[in-house]
Amino acid sequence: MISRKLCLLGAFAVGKTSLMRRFVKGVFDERYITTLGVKIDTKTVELENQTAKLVIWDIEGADPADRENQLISSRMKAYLAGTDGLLLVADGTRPVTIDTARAIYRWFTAEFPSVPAALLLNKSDLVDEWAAGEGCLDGFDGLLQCFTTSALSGENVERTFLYLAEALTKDENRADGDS
Amino acid sequence: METAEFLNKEVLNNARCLVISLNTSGVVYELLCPWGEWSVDSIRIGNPLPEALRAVLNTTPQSRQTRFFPYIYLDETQVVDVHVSTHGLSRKVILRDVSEVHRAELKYQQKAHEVSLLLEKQSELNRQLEIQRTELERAGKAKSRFIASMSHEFRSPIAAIMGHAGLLMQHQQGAEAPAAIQRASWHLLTLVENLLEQARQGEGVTRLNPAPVHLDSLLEDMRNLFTVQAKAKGLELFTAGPPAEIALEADELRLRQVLINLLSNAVRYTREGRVDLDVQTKDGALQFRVIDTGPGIEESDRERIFQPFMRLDTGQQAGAGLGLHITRQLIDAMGGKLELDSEPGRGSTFRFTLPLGAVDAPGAPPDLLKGRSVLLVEDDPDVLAIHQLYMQDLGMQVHSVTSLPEAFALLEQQRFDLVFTDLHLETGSGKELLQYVQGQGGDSRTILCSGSGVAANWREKLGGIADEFLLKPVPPERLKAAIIRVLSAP
Ligand SMILES: Nc1nc2c(ncn2[C@@H]2O[C@H](COP(=O)(O)OP(=O)(O)OP(=O)(O)O)[C@@H](O)[C@H]2O)c(=O)[nH]1
Ligand SMILES: [Mg+2]
Repeated sequence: MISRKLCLLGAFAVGKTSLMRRFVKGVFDERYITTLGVKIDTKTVELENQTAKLVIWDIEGADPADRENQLISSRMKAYLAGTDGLLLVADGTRPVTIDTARAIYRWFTAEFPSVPAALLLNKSDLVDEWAAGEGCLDGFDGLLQCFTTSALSGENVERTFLYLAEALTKDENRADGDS
Repeated sequence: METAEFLNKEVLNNARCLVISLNTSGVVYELLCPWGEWSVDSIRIGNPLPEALRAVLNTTPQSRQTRFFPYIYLDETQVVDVHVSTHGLSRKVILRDVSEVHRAELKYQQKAHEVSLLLEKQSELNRQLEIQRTELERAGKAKSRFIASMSHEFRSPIAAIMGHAGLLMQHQQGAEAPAAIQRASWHLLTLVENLLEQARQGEGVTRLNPAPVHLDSLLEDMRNLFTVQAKAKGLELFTAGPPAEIALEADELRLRQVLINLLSNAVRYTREGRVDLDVQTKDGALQFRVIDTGPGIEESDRERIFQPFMRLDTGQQAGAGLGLHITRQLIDAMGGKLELDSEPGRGSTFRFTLPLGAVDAPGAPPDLLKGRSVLLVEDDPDVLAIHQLYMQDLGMQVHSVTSLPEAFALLEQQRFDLVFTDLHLETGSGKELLQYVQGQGGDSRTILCSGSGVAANWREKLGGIADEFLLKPVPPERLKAAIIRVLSAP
């Protein structure tokens, strides 16, 4: 079975941990407990032509208040090594997190030019506070896809992970991991 | 010695490390806890590593000698630093339990993030407040414009009512009804003017139109206005003016408004005694005083009464509550200062001074006007009737028309001593007409009159277009004075 490494990255409190929990365990917790370091979990998925193991790295959040060159800590860099895909997460109710995602994306595409990335505008259940409007996708050139998701309702969560998984496994040249 | 041994033991015991040796297929074949006692349930000899650690291992290429991964969660509570090293085909994973230091750092990080989220919320709320504030400001401006336009609308009919009441009074000497109508109209006009002024100030401007003020007629107007009202309450009203040759330059409409506000308050709040309007020169300026024998104003109330919509709670009459606030602002704008002396129980004196201008006193002979021809252009039939009557009373020959074409037609046929036109006509602008008159090159004198919708500085704006500018309503004395001025000018 082939295996793919996916990283969740974005500003703090946007819902990275919640998205992974929703996808892997199918549950949601409204309490906020920040992640310091990385939580790794796996899930085996049935794709169009094959079964694949997704190894998901839920990486600690970046601080939007940090200057752009300090946004990515050395810890984050260690975790990102060898990733096959990136799920960039922002909170649709906090415009500043979209800016953070944009800055991370800029850095990421320079560092990992051939690794596909998708953007997740999370918390789509909070319609009243939704603030991601026109132009929020500016500066995301080359992005694979953008989804609005909700870890709370589950909207688009499965779809997003599977979409990226398909994209990462279509490429036959990739070496298989995990013996 | 004992101390060093103790310290050594403590350090080593607390350095909870696990050295895990893996065979080529990734199965654990040796577990070592070099210092103290520590084991992890999910790591057993003969088993593969748990998923998280396998993921870390797979991230490290075989070619690399060593690699370090800090803060890897094994579960919700156990966090380790992971060190991966490769010796030929076998690999070693060294775990160090950092749960405790991680917990401490996490607690701090959690707080920091929560504070940041609150700050973010706060600045978002501030942003929304700012939006609402500009929205309110816009609404406030719209309100001011609305009040202003409504006030303008009210002026014309009030002017007509007042004018007709005035004529009735002249023709039916001593009749009470027309006097009452005129008083009520004045009161209404004052309220409208105050509203209008408030709206203007809401827009942040008080523009003045200074012109020579005829003090005698001003004082007479005040007497006429308030005598009946004062009498009805058993009060006496006195006015005293300065020497006749005193010339004051001021915005007469505003000055009137100020005096009406002060006098109507004085009459309203005084139960017995008298009200005096006293105007005297003082140190090269003109001092106005409105003195009453009313209840007086407590020290503690003296600032409050100048606030908008504030009235002292005397259980008496209604009013817009704008009077004193506007009065003070108008006086400020005219370069004076409203001051109050009061002794509770004995009365109040409101006083202010205005700078004096140059001497200018036209004492025109009345027969200057006898038989002079005037073209009167006005499209409001009521105002037309009033002005026509006033002018006829002065012995003038009045030709009145209600539209520009009629006016042009008449001008073609004959010459007029005076062309008196309204500014805003339904058929066009009085300005056009006056430009035409100027173009004719005759010696006709011109007066431009406007009741509504004019900018406060319309006189300057239209400067040169007419010999004289009048703002409606025009009481007979002002009309007369203006006509005398333009016809007697060289
Ligand atoms: N309404 C709503 N709340 C969500 C959603 N996803 C996450 N949350 C809440 O947002 C808060 C943060 O969620 P986490 O999943 O811990 O966020 P994170 O990105 O992992 O945060 P860090 O680990 O600090 O970077 C929690 O209180 C979640 O319950 C969502 O889709 N809708
Ligand atoms: Mg998290």
